[in-house]
Amino acid sequence: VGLHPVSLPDGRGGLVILSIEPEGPAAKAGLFVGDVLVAIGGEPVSDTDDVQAHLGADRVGKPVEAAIVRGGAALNVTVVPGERA
Amino acid sequence: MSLIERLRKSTVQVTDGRGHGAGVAWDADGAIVTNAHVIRGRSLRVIGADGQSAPARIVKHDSERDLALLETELRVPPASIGDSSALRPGEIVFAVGNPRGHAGAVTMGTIHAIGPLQLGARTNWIQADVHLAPGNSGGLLANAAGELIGINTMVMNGLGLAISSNEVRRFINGEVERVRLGVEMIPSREGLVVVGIEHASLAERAHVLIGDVLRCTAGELRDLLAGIQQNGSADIPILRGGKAKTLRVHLGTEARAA
Repeated sequence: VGLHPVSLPDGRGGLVILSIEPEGPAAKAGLFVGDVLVAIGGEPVSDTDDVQAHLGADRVGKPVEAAIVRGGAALNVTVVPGERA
Repeated sequence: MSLIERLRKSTVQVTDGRGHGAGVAWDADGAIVTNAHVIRGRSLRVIGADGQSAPARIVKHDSERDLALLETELRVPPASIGDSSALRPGEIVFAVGNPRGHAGAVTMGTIHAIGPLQLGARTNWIQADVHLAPGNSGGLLANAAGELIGINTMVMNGLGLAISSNEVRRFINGEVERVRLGVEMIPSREGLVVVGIEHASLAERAHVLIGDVLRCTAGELRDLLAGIQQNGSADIPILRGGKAKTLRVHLGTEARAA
């Protein structure tokens, strides 16, 4: 996925999804371009380093809960990180 | 008289009792153009290149455009006003102002680019590699023919940014400013993804959300917004949470995605 840091109206930081690889983990989890990722595994994410910390080789194939804001509403999705091509 | 001397004589110092900026004689009847941010104080005076000075009063002021029109009894030779739409990158330009109190200081550079600083932004800045410093604000940017093509306004990333002479002309003539949504956007395959929303903007009033994807190009968005002035509203196609919606934007009224 392509991500860009944003500030939400409630003051939280997050990362808006700019692109999604077809058939990739984000697409399989039902994420859309424009979804704002605010936490992974219960920990807030505000930059791409935060996200990378959750996507190490040891996390591949292990489902992780991602908190997102979609159209102003909060929801959780389960993402299964895949191996980097 | 040399081209540079003419430019210097058309440039004035503008003092507001708190600081100094520059200004340009727009006509021979005492009209002076400067930046709105130059005239924050109350006690305005204009000082000509010959050292003579006179009080000035504000005729028009637009802080969003960062332009102000002053009137003074001081008679200053007016600048020759050029057509900024004819400018091209690479042209040689001169900036005259009062950087750090050096009245009539001149710097030369080339046009680097003309346009907004970011996608979706409204202002078409004239971006030139002229050396500007505090005191240049409100001063003139001229082309190699000695015609005023911009008002120097700020420095960003080492480049001087000037408001185009055509925008100044529209300001003076009272032409309505283009409607702007007030969002920061990044292009994606799906459209323009909103990554920032300005406070009190049309976008905020229309409940645009971070992550909304505007299903248009920046040019199409400009055209849609221009239609607000004629039709009273504009319908902007968006994707929100993967679903197609239409955002109706009204001037001065609330709107919601439908």
